[in-house]
This record gives sequence, structure tokens and C-alpha cells, in this order.
Amino acid sequence: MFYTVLIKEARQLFSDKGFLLIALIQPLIFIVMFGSSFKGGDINHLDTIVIDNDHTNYSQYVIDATYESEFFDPINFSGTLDDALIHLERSEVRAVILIPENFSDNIDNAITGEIEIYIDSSNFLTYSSLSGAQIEIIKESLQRIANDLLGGLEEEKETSKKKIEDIKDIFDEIETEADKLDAELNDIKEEFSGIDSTAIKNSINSLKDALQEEKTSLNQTQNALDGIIFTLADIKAFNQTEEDRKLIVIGQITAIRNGINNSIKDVDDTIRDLDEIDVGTVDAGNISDRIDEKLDSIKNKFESVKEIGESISLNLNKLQKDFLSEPIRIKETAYHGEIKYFDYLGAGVLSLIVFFVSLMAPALNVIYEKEQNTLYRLSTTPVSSIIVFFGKFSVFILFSFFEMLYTLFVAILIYDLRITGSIYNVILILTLLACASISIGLFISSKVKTMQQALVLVPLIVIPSFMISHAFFPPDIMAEFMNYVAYATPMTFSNHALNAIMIKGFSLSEVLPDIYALLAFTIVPLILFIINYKRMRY
Amino acid sequence: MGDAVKVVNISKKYKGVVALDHVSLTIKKNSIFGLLGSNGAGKSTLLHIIIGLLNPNEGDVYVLDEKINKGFSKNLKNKVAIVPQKLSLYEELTIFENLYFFAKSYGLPRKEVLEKIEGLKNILRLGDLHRKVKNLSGGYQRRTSLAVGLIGSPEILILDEATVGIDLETKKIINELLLSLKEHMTVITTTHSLEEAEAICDYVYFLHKGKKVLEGTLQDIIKKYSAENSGDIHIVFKDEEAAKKIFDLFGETKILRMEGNKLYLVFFSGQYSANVLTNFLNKIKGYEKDIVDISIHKPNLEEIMLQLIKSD
Repeated sequence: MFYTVLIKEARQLFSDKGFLLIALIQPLIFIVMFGSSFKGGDINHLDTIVIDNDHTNYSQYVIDATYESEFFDPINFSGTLDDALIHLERSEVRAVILIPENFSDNIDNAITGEIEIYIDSSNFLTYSSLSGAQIEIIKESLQRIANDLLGGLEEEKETSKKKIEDIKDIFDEIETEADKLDAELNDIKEEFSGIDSTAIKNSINSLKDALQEEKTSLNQTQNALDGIIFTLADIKAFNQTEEDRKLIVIGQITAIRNGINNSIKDVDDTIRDLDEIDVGTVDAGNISDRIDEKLDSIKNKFESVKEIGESISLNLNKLQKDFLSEPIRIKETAYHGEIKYFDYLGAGVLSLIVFFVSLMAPALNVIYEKEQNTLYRLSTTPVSSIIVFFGKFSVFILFSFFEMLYTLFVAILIYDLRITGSIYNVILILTLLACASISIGLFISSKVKTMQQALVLVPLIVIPSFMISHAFFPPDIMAEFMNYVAYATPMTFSNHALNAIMIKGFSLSEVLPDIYALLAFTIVPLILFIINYKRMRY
Repeated sequence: MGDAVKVVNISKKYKGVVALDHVSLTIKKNSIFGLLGSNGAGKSTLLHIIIGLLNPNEGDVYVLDEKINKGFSKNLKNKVAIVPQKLSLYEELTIFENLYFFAKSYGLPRKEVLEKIEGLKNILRLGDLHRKVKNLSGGYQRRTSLAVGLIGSPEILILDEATVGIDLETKKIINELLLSLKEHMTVITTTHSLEEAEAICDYVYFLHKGKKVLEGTLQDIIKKYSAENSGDIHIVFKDEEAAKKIFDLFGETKILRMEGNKLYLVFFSGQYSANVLTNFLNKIKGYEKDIVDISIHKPNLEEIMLQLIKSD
């Protein structure tokens, strides 16, 4: 008996050739739709505009890094930021990267170089992908900029070494001058011992004051060098090589500092010597001139040391701690504000519900009438096919409208669905989608013969429509031909319009092409249904 | 006064198969016209051509003197109603809702609609009108379907196998109604049931394989075929044993058959039948006391048609 039942069921199932045909086509369409809707497996190679206002090697490094990134796909563009943002607003590109004109100057002056990136946040998936991909640009461009910077530092190191050698020479000369001065002072002491002259006394006092000033200056330089050594010691180097280089520089500066310390001691000794001078028999004018000359010489040498020290200090400023912790920063702007995943899916989910219900209900209703033969009977009465169509159409519009309002209400109340634009515009677009869906449902019903065929055909239309309508998979990652196929479903247009209204806050005038498309999807199947009505009556 | 329907030499082919082959017929007004034939004879095709849902490949159709060209005009849709073989009612709606809906489809005012519904309720004994159609018995569903056909007061009512499988009471009610309606409208009925055709039809048209086999009034046809052909002698015995005793005297034969306590002897006009009858009468001599009744039965429409189909 089991075998008999099996045979009967099989015969019954396979007797519906239309059903079999659809069942045969269905898996093929599903596979192609799924496969082609997700061409790469990842969300990458997204169209990006890069605006370079800096035009330097550093900015070129950023552009190169963008080109090499698998996430960004820079397109040719020669406009301003405002022009670029118009493309972003329309989702024609997914990101705009702006390199400001002071980018490389800032880096050269040890100030963090800032890049601005504007990302289209109307599509959650592309937004998340690009938002996470910025680090790749920073990493790649930083590596190149760091190489340049290190090359510069190497040059600086050589220059600094030379300057420190110069300082050494100057100190040697100072030492010699100091020795000479010391010897001369001794001679003076011997030559003019016992001479008491007020003028010489005054000169010696002036000399002592001048030496005291020099001592103060030397102390300041010494303190400045101490500060540099401490700052340098705090800096964390990139790697061991840099650490080694840092220690060498600290050693060199410490040597300078010690040299200055020795000079301070020399000045102290000189002051002490001057205190011991007996000026009673000295030729004050002559001695004063000679000492002034010597002191000027020493003063000039100290000025040179000071200049060299300042120069080294300036170069070391490039190794500021803040700069090293963040040499490049990307300032990200979510162009349409931050969105939740449900906000992004909202348009698609609303469209799906309206499309499915509005397509299914009239299709099944008419097929039921065909099976019940009531449509045939109605066709023999004076009621025109136009009246029959609009009668059905009106009821289903009303039904779909309340279904849509109810869905919208739940989505907003429970899931806090974001609607930036007007909710009335959202309702209008969904109503237009319902009209299109009902027309398509009626048209399908005029072609399909049995309920069984309808139950297979409707999911065959609804599921792929959802997949290709950019509700879930962004157009950027779909196979190119699939983006053309997407225009075959009204859901693509409703999703586009709803996304623009709900996320971007667009007005109706900005989604007019979508509205026209939805009207076309209403009118064309409507005409086909009325043409087919006579043929489908029995 | 013209004819209700005039079909002139129409032919119809489906994918190379001839469904109708040069068929012509005329249906008089205020008559009940029976369109007869077995399955696939072409009845439904002819009917759909008459009501304008199908176009013939050749030939012309006139309904109420209006030539049919690509469907019925609104005028004809007001004057012609069809009661399909399938129920064709909104089963989720009540009897009243169905009648009201179809009445409004004829553009009738509410008051007239309510009067008509009340009238049909009484004539067809529809009972409680607020029952859903899906909950009705088959007989009531058929009555409702006929009521829907009559709600627009058509000049021509077409019944497409509309009384198939209904109970005797409903069949009686419908037949009585149709006979009474004849004064006001023309009824065209297609049916398998020749018994039904005999009961109500004034004129029958018999199709077989898309061609006309026979047409005429019932009286003329039966008279013609009775005279030309044959009949049955029905002999009723007191019991089955007595009938079998006589039946065994003849052995295997096609002209005699036994059903319970009855023997049926087929006779034809001509010398052969005369011999058979004489032989039979001779053989039953001596068994007269076992015979309860003898009657002669003339051929009915069904038998005539079966003969015609066989001869074809």
C-alpha cells in the first residue's frame, strides 16, 4: 500500500508541469543570485575620492597607501571637497579622503599630521569596513614617512657631531685664552704689586662683574643642556637602533655640559685671582684694556657655544614625545551620522515585508478565484475587467497600507528605527511599493494556473529580490551584471529611496527617479494584467 | 421575432485538433435547447464560442441577432447568463452575499435586488440565506448557483452541465423551474444526462467528435428511431429461478439478457427479429404460469445515441 501511496503522490506532484518547471529553475536562480550578490567574499574595493591639498612626498605616501589598500578604490577626481561630498551624499562613492595643505609641514615640525576621511554611513557594512580600514592607510604611509624622517635624523646626527666637535675646539681655545689670561694676571700681579689706584680698582671690579655675568650665562646654558638630557631620556624610541642613537646624543650633550661646567670653574678661579690683585702700582688704563680684550674674546666664544647648543636643542625638539606617539591621525566623519545595524537593514526589512505581503495576497486571491471559477463567472457579467482590477487593487492597497503602518510602528517603537527624513515620505514610498507589488502579484496570478505554482513562484521572486535589491548586500560588492538585474525588482528602488529618506534625510524631490520607477512597476504589470484578464478567465 | 442563437458553419481547432467541424444550429427563443454529447464531443467549445469567450476559426455566431465578434458586448452580458459546471461561487460568503454581489454586477438597484433575492429564495427553496456557501450541501450549492444565474433576469440562460451530481429533490425543483421559465427566457443546457434532456428539452442537438450527429425535437427523434429500429420485450417472472429456467433454454446470446427475475429480449425490425420472436414465444409455452408481466419498451434517447455513436 505504501508503494501505491508513493506512486500516487509522485504522479500528483509531477503532473503539474508549471510547478516542475519553476521548481527546476528555482535552485538555479537562488544559487546564481547568492553567488553573484557576494562576488568577493569581503566588502572591499569601495570607490573613494582622494583630495591632495598638500602635494608633497608625505601626501603622496598617503595616496599610495590608499591605492594599495584592498578596501579603498580611488577614482579619478579633480574637484573640491564640496564637489566630492556631493558624490558621497549620493552614495556614488563610499569615502572621501582629504589631505590638508599643512600635512607635511606639521610632520616636519613634530606636530601630528591630520588626514580627514568622510565615510558614507548610509550603508552599515561599507561604513564598518572602511572605518576599520583607516589604520591600514596610517600604517602604510607612516612607514614611508618614518623612513624619510629617519634619513633626516641621520643627517642631523652628522651635523650635530660636527657641531659638538666645534664646541670642543672652542672650549680648547677658551681654555688657552683662560690660561693666557691667568698668566697675564700673574704678571700684572708681580709687575704692579703694591700699587693702589682707584681707577684700576674700579676696572677690576667691572671685570669681576663681567665675569660674574658670564658665569650666570654659563650656568643657564648648563641648565638648558640638563633639561635637554632629561627630555631625551624620557623619549621612547621606535626600536633598539633608535635607542642607541638616542644614548649617543645624550652622551654628546653631557660632554658639552661638563665642558661648560669646567668653564664656570675657570671663571670662578679668574674672579678669585682678580680679588688677590694689588692695584696700588698698576698702569690702570693699559691693564684694563688688555683684560677687556681677553674677556671679550672669552665672551664671544661662549656666544658661539650657546648658538651651537640652541641649534642642537632645536633639532632635538623634533623628537617630541606627543609627536612620536601619534605622528599621523585620521579624523573620521561618518557622513550621515552614526547608524545602527538595524537602521541600515530597516529600509530592506520594511520593503521585504510590504513586497511579500502585497505580492502574495493578490496573487493567491486571484488564483483561488481562478480555481474556484468565480472569475470566469464574473467575466460573463457586465462588470468590466477594469472595475474588477481596481476593486481588487483598492482592497489590497488598504490591506497593505495597514500592514505597513503596523510594521513601521513596531520597528520604531521596539527597535528605535532611525528616520532622519519625513515619516510621511517613508509611508508614501512604502505605499508606492505596495502598489507595484500588488500589480505584479495580479500579473503573476494571470499567468500562473495553480496555487501550487504560485506558492513556488512567489518565494522565487521575493527572496532573490531581497538579495539583489541592495537591502543587504551593497551594490559595491555585487557582480556588475547583478547590479543591472537588480533594476528588475521594485525593491531596489524602494530600498534606495527609503535609505535616502531614513538615513540621509532626503526629501521626495531627491528620490524622484525611484518614485518614477515604482510607478512604472505599478502601471506596466497593471496593463499586462488587464490584457491577460480575458485569456485567464478559464 | 428573431432566434435566440444562430450558429453558422463554425469550426474551431486547438493545436491542430478539430474541436468543432462546420457546425450550424439555430436556437429558437423561449425554448429549452439541449446540447448533448459525450466528453470531448465539443459541447463546451461550442458553448464558449456562443458566449463569446472563444473565437471560432471560421463561421459566424449571432446571439439575440447581434453578431459576436471578440466577446460579448455589455448589452449581451446583461441578457445572457451562464451557470457553469463548477460551482463558481464565493464559498466564504453567504448565499445572500453571493446573490447580492452578482445582482449588483448587473447594475440593479438595491430594492429590486432584495425583491429578486426573496423571489429566488422561495422558488428554489434556498432556506436560510445567511449560511456560508462552503457550509451548504451539494444540492443547496447548486440551487444557489442557479439562483445567481437567474438574478439578472437574463433572456438566455446557459446551463453548462449545471445539474451534474445533484440529489433528486434538487433536480426536480430545478427542472420544474426551468420548464416554468421557458415562457420568459431561452434555456440552453449541455448535459451528459439524456434522461434529463428527455425531461425538459424541446429540442436537442447531439455532437460527436465536433460534428453534428443528430438534431430535432425529442418527439420527432424518438418517433423516427423507434420506427426504424427496435425495442425490448420485458418479461417479468414470478421469481429468479423461473426466469433462469427460460434463460438457460437459449444459452449464450446477445439478444437475451437476464437481470434478477426479468428477461430482456431485444428485437429489431426485419425477418431475423420475427424469427427470434417466434422462437422465443414457442419456447415459453408451458411456462405461462411463471410469467407475471410482459411489456414492450421503445428505445429512449440514450439508447438511440449509443447506437448512433456505435455506428459512427
